[in-house]
Parts: sequence; structure tokens; C-alpha cells
Amino acid sequence: MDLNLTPEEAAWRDRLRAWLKDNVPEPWPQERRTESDADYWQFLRDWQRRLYDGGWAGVSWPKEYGGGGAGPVQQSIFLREIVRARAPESLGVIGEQLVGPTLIVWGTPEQKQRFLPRILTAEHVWCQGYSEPNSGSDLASLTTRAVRDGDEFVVNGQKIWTSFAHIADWCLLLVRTDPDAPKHKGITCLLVDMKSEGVSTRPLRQMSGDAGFNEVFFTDVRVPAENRLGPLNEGWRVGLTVLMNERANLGTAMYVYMHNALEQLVTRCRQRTRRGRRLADDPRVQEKIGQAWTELEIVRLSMDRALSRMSAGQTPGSEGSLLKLGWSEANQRLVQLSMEILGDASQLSTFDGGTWAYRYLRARGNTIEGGTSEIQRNILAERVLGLGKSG
Amino acid sequence: MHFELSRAQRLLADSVREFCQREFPSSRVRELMETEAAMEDRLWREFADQGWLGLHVSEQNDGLGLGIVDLAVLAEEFGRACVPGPWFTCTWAASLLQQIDSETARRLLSSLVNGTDKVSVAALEDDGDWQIRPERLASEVADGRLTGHKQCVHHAGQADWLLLPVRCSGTMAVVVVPADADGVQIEKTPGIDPTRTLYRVSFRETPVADDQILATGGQAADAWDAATRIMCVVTSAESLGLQEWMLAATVDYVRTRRQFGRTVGSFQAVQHHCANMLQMTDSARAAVWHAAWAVQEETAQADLAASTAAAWTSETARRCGNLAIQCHGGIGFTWEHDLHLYYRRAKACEFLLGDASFHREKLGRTILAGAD
Ligand SMILES: Cc1cc2nc3c(=O)[nH]c(=O)nc-3n(C[C@H](O)[C@H](O)[C@H](O)COP(=O)(O)OP(=O)(O)OC[C@H]3O[C@@H](n4cnc5c(N)ncnc54)[C@H](O)[C@@H]3O)c2cc1C
Repeated sequence: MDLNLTPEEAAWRDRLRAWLKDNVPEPWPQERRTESDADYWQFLRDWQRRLYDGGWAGVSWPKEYGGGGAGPVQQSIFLREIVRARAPESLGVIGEQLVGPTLIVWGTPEQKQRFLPRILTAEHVWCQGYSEPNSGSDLASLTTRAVRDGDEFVVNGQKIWTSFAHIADWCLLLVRTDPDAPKHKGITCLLVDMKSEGVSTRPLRQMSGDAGFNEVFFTDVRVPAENRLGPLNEGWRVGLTVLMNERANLGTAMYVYMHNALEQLVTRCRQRTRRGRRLADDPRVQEKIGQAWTELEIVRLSMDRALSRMSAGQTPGSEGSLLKLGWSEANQRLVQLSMEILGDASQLSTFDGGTWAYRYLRARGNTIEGGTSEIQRNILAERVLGLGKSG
Repeated sequence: MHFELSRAQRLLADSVREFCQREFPSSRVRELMETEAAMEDRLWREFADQGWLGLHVSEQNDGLGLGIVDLAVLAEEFGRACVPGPWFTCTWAASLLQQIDSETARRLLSSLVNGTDKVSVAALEDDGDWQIRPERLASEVADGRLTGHKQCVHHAGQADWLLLPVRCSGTMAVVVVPADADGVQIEKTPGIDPTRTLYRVSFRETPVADDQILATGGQAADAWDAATRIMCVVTSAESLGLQEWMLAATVDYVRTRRQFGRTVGSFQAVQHHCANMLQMTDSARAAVWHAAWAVQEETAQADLAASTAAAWTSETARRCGNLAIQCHGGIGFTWEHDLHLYYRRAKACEFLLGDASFHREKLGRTILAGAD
């Protein structure tokens, strides 16, 4: 074991660090992070474009599609440096972390050529059309139908909880193409232009107050057959690639998000006083900050270790469930600790722009989205530990 | 030992519940919470007529003269319906006023109890410390003028009077100020719970006449502590009501929601979440009833019991909320579903009068200071 960087890795890091020093916009509007803020989305699109132009987008993606062609170690360095430079979070999480890696595995050369660079430039923002009103945890029971008609599929049905659908350009959609086959064998994955005729989105207000997810209705939507990702009726396997990536990779964005929160928390602890001393000098606060730090380190280290196990481009396996369980619950504990430390004021929309109350409420979604914690635990118990299906 | 409600208390619970079902269905709560007052005059009148603005206030002061256990019963039902508005802060004001032997206090108490005037308690200062001690209060009355800030004050924007602890000649005093007095500035600062509107209140050279200083020194501190004990019971009882609702809603939902060809409530993981909610709710009830009784009877354990209930329910209400949302899946994360109203209220109750870690520290300090 050697956790030190090789001279080449260190040189790569130094180049990145220098670039970030010159390019990170300052200051960036952290407090405005609510998922419906259009200016904020534009700001993140611009930032993504700048990363791309600088050659730092998609560090571990193949070079021919605009990526950096580097390995998982660089990806981990990238994450750390982004945090260190206080750079903005990534906008295209769904495109960059879920759809891209899946396209790299399953896409035709034409599909890769067409979609991958546009994800990296933030020209295309993606959403993920999986869940339906009656198919959540039991995703394979989905009923949105696609029927082949000449060179096209005709799609009818409804998705729900589709994050970013209201701003997305494209949707990675799971549909049923063979209703007679066993439920896992009749699903196909389609890439759908959100501007197609017959697609309509209705934003749903989240408990956090903002419109982050949506209902998406498909009425006779025509999708060119060339937009099928992976073989016909093999969509379950394609979909799993996405989910594995979701569970493993979204931890990256989460780590940045959590790190920014902890940093802000530390600043407040140094500024605010209670019982005649700075919060920072209160041993109880110190202990809680120590706890928060530990949560973050564990997320980072678990991710690093998983990254080092996966060689570049390889689909993550059960690591995904382990990591997702870890980062989702860690974030929930972090916001709880933060509010305990900051006290009553932290619930106010006038305190730090309401970011703490927002983070607190938003964190509840973390253990539901991307497969609930119960489902992750089922996967770990059944498939990793081999304990068999529970009754 | 009889660790149960009396027949009269059960009847009280039933009638309040029925009232709330009629007057505070969640659609109504949602309408009310979109308004700053979060309460309707007609309903406030009803509260007064029912005696709910002075349930535990003595009959000489126009109250019903009932006990703190009865008050806890009322608060639990209000929690179960997530009743919006200034009832909590007005009950706090009543609890404080009735400890104070002054003509102004008596007059104010009676106009509060009969629903004429609303009184908000402005306790918390910028340091966010719920331990109110004169040496740390920044708000001060000197030469008949009050200067200072208070935060997270419930419904100050609708209050006729503000009741607050201040420093006065080096000791603690409880003073009352008309909300429209000179130098009073009231600014809305929305909190996580939209069913109660929070305000920041600033006083700049606000005149305070002698008869507005209701109590000073040991008398003020004792009155403050006694009212705090009562309100720890009230907020804990409300939290208990929130938990009861969340548990019931969750059990209902998982009984009907189907995935994988069966109800999700048939999965052991979900069953265990529900069982944990049940255990937390049941234990919270024991803590709340014990605290209510101890505070009512003014036993030697009253302070410890009140803090135990607050420490316990601060945690259990939040955790029940976490599990309730989790068992609902996506639908539990929406604005449309009522869960978040309860979840937000639970978070606000967690802070109110000190969170679990505040009360645990207080408990620890008291226990460690005791005789061997
Ligand atoms: C913030 C947020 C963003 C989302 N974004 C997207 C998105 O972009 N695209 C998308 O397609 N979906 C998205 N989702 C939907 C999410 O994937 C589903 O909500 C999730 O898979 C659960 O499905 P459900 O809501 O139908 O809950 P259900 O499946 O009905 O689950 C209800 C409860 O039952 C439990 N349960 C179900 N089955 C089992 C079992 N076998 N064993 C034990 N417990 C079980 C669950 O864990 C849960 O506690 C999002 C959800 C949220 C909250």
C-alpha cells in the first residue's frame, strides 16, 4: 500500500491546482443553491464550460470523446482539488456521473460521438426517467410502453420524481418493449430528446419547498430507433449500469457539497459566541465538529478505495450500494450536527440565506433517491453477503 | 400508582381532537400558514370560549383552573393536528404572568385568557442560549429605557404585548412592552416551520415605566423557571402529538402501498422502522405524562422531569419524522404530502426551549452537583 502520489500524479495535480487558482470564479453564490434557481443553473453551465475549455472535464473519460483519458486516481485528485479550490459543484451530475459512463459502456460509436462531448460542455443537461407512480423500489415492474413503428419507437406512459426534467435537454428513459416477457427481460433503454412532441413535464414541489423533481408525461412520443441504448429488451442491464454509477459516483458531488457545508460551519463557529465564548472554544462544539469531520473523511476515503478498485471505465459493482448507503446517511448526520451547533437561528431563511434549513430538508431525499437505503441494504445482504432473499 | 389519564382528561382529549378534525384539516392548516397570523380571529375566539387560552390559569384570573396534565392533553391534540398560530407563545405568556404578583400582570393575564390581547414571549437573544441568566442577557432596562434584540419570537407581528426577560440593575427582570411602543422594531424572519411565524424584535431606547417591570431579582428568575418547566411539558406534549400523527400516517400508508406484488408494510425493514416509531412514541408518552404530573404537583423532580421529557421528545419527534418520510419513499418528500408540515414542526419543537443536547447538559450538571 502506498497512498502517496507518484511523481506523474503529483505533476498532474500541480497543473490542475494552478489552473483552478486562475479560473475558479470568486465568489460564487453558494447560498443560492436551491434547485429551481435559473440563474444558478446558468452559472453552473458556464462553469462546466470553462472546465471543458481548460481540458479538465470528464477526467477519466476517453480522450476521443473530449475526456481526459486519465485513471481513477486522477479522478480522486480532481475531486480533492475542486474542494480545495472551493470550486462550484458540478451541474451535469446526471449526465456526467450517470449517463456518460453508461454510454461509454453501452453506446454505439455514433452515440458516443454525438452525446459524450456535449455532456462535458454542458450543452446537454440530462435527466433519468426511471421511477413511475407504481414502480419505485420495484423498478422492473415499470409500464411506460414503447412500440416499434418503422424507424421509430412510439412511447406512451408516465414517469415521476424525475429530477432536473424541467431543465433537461435529454432523458435516459426506461420503457417496456415486451410486455409478455418476464419483467426484467422486456425493458429497453431509450435516449429521448426532451423537446420531442408529446413530452410534457409538470414540476412537483419538494418538501424542501423548491421544484427539483417532476412528473413527465409521454404521449405518442416518436423516438428514432437509433436512439436505443444497448440491445432491445436488455434495458434492465443498461439501467443497472446507470444505477451502479449513480450510487458510486454521486458521492463525488455529495462530498463537495458536504465539504462546503462543513467549511461554512467552521467559519460560523469562529464568528459566533454563546455563553460568553466563541462556539469554536466550546468543547461540546469541538466534539461535534470532530464528528462532522470524521463523517466527511469516511465518505472520501471509502470513495477513494472504491475508485482504486475500479480500473478506469469499468462499471462499479456492489461498491455502489456500500458507498450510497454511506454518503446519504453521512449527509443527514452532518446537517443535523450543523443545526445542533448553530442553534435556533440556523432554521431561519434569513440566516446564511436559509441554506441550513434547506440542506436539512433536502437531505431526507438522499436515502430515497437512487434506490432507498432499505433496497441498498437488501442488495448488500442478499448479493454481497449471500444471505438469501428475505421474506 | 395510576399512570393513566382520568376519565375527564380522556373526554377533554376527545373533544379537542374532534374540534381539530373539524376546524384544522390539513387543507385549512395550509391556508392559514400562508398568512402571517396563521390564525383566524373566529378560531381564536373559539379557543378563548373553550378556555384553551387559560386552561391551567386559576379561576380568579379567568382561567379554567385545570392542571398541567390537562394542558399536556390539549397540547398533544394540537400537535396531532399541527395547529398553527400563536397558541404556544400565548400559553407561555400566561404561564409566566400567573407566577407574577402584580396588578399589571393580572390585568394582562385576564385580557389574554379572554382572547382580547395576544402576548408573545421574547426570550432568545443573539447568542441563541436558552439558559436565561441576567449576567448574560444583552437586553437591558436602564433609566427607564429598554435596548436589546430578541430572535425567533413567535408571532410578534400580531402581538399586542411583548413579554421579555431583561437585565435590570444587574439582576433579571421580566418586563412587558406594548408591541407598538417607541423604538420597537419587528422584522419577520421565516423559520423552518411555516405554521408559526417567527420575528426578530429590536428595542431601541424603548420607554419602560415602573409598572411594566413585572418582577425582578429572585422573583423574576423563579417565575421564569416555573414557566419554562410548564412550557417544556407543552412543547414535549406537542411533539408527542406530532409523532402520533406521523406513526399513524405511516402505518396507514405502508399497509396499502404495494411493490414487488405485496404491501411494503410486509417487508421486515419497513416493519422495523414502524416498530421503532411505535417504541419512540410510547416512551415519549411516558416521559411527557411524568413531566406533566411532576410539574403540576411541583415535586422535587419537576425540573429534571421537564428536561428529561424535552431531551427525549426533541430526539424522538425528529427520528419518527425521519422514519416516516423514509417509509413513504418519494411521495413523502413532496410538498403536497402533509408529512413535511409535521417534520418541520418537529424540527422547530426540537429547538424550542433548548434542544436535546441543551437539556442533557442541564440534566448532567444537576445530577453531578447533587449530594452523594
Ligand atoms: C429527491 C428525489 C429525487 C429523485 N430523482 C429521481 C430521478 O431523477 N429519476 C427517477 O427515476 N427517480 C427519481 N427518484 C425516485 C426514487 O428513485 C424513488 O422514490 C425510490 O426508488 C423509491 O420508490 P418509491 O418512491 O416508489 O417508494 P416505494 O418503493 O413505494 O417504497 C416505500 C417504502 O418501502 C420500502 N421498500 C420497498 N420495497 C422494499 C423491499 N423489497 N424491502 C424493504 N423495503 C422496501 C422503501 O425502502 C420505502 O421505505 C427521486 C426521489 C427523490 C426523493
